Amino acid sequence: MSVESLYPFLYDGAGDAAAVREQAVRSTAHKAAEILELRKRVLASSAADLERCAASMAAAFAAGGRLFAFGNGGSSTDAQALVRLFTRPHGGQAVPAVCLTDDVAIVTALANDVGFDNVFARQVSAFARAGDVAVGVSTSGGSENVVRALDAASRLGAITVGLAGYDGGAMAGGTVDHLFVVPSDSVHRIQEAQTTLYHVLWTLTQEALASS
Amino acid sequence: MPVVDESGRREAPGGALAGNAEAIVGACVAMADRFAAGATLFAFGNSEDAQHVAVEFLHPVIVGKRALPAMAVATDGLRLLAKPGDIAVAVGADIGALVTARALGLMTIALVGRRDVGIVADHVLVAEADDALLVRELHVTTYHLLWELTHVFLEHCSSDEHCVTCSDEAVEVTVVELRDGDLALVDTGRGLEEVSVALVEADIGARLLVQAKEAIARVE
Repeated sequence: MSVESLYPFLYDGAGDAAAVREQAVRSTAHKAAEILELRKRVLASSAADLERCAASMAAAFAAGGRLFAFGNGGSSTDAQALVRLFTRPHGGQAVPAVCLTDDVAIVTALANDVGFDNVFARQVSAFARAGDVAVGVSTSGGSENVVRALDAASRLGAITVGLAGYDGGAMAGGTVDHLFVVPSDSVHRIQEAQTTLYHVLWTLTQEALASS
Repeated sequence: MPVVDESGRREAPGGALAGNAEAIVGACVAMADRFAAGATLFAFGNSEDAQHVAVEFLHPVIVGKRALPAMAVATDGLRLLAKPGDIAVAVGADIGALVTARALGLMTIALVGRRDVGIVADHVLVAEADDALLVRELHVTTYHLLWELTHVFLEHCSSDEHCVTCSDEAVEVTVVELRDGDLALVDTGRGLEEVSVALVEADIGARLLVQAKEAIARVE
């Protein structure tokens, strides 16, 4: 998607600065309404699986399981935020979780020596075991290193959770136990709705832990 | 709390975001002015959100958008790296870093929740929620909008023609003149621009791949 298609008014002969600013305000308000609708829609369509996923995760943590999260770029910051939420919650129970982008020595060593497609799968193979939880974040659902790591986690018997956008990409055709797809073609709106998805997943997991 | 209630409690704060449109646009106009004058953006606050802001500006998700200088820093890094005229973006109420940024002469933008509405910055963008999770969700949307609109104003208000070699996407160019300081004047097909050739062997007539003003390879 181009900025031209998002802001057509700027490219059809351009009005004066005040008019551009006024239209930008309107467009911003429109996007605010759009993301609220998308967040509500994806929570509604994912409700049942969010409950199931939270129950599985709570059971995994209660049995000593650990969580591993990973993603690239903006999605790596979501993986970090998710891990921070699970390990240092404002209220609630802290559970063991690691973000696989945290150790720059490991990430750069694997990227340099083995290739970037394997930076997460190699770590999953080394760390994960049956009863752990692997969470892969990708806006397209197709990031090769995220998909490979989820496959590796699945082979080891971990619970796999995928956050994707568009039509789910390669994740949709894979072996992910709980796949949450944000039906949008904007990377930004997908990331914003994914933030809500993992915030709600954490909340539900905490509730399940508290009642078990 | 059932998922339907999780959705419901996002309704009012999410709806209120539209009320920030004027303030968001105002911050973007200021950011575009600063970037046009050569500013660097420094992001801090929640470390993961600060990194997200930096990667958003430096490596845009929309192919062909200009790569803008942005980095995530702690307060010490800010003190050592920033100069007057640069841009500071705080995601969360990082008061210490904001005070430092203001003292250094940076233009400051603060994304905060309702509890920190009194924070001092040139542009204060308030997520209308108290719950930290809801605040953060609105912040993610807000900084995406900051990026998008900054480019809109940067392109609209810039007197320059579009800078072909500034893009994060590699473009092929031809060297027409070698200049001091490992620089070269290159023909982009849409005009002449100056780029760095520090990383490649450049001679007149050479075809180069250029990304973000830096020649990264020769095209044989």
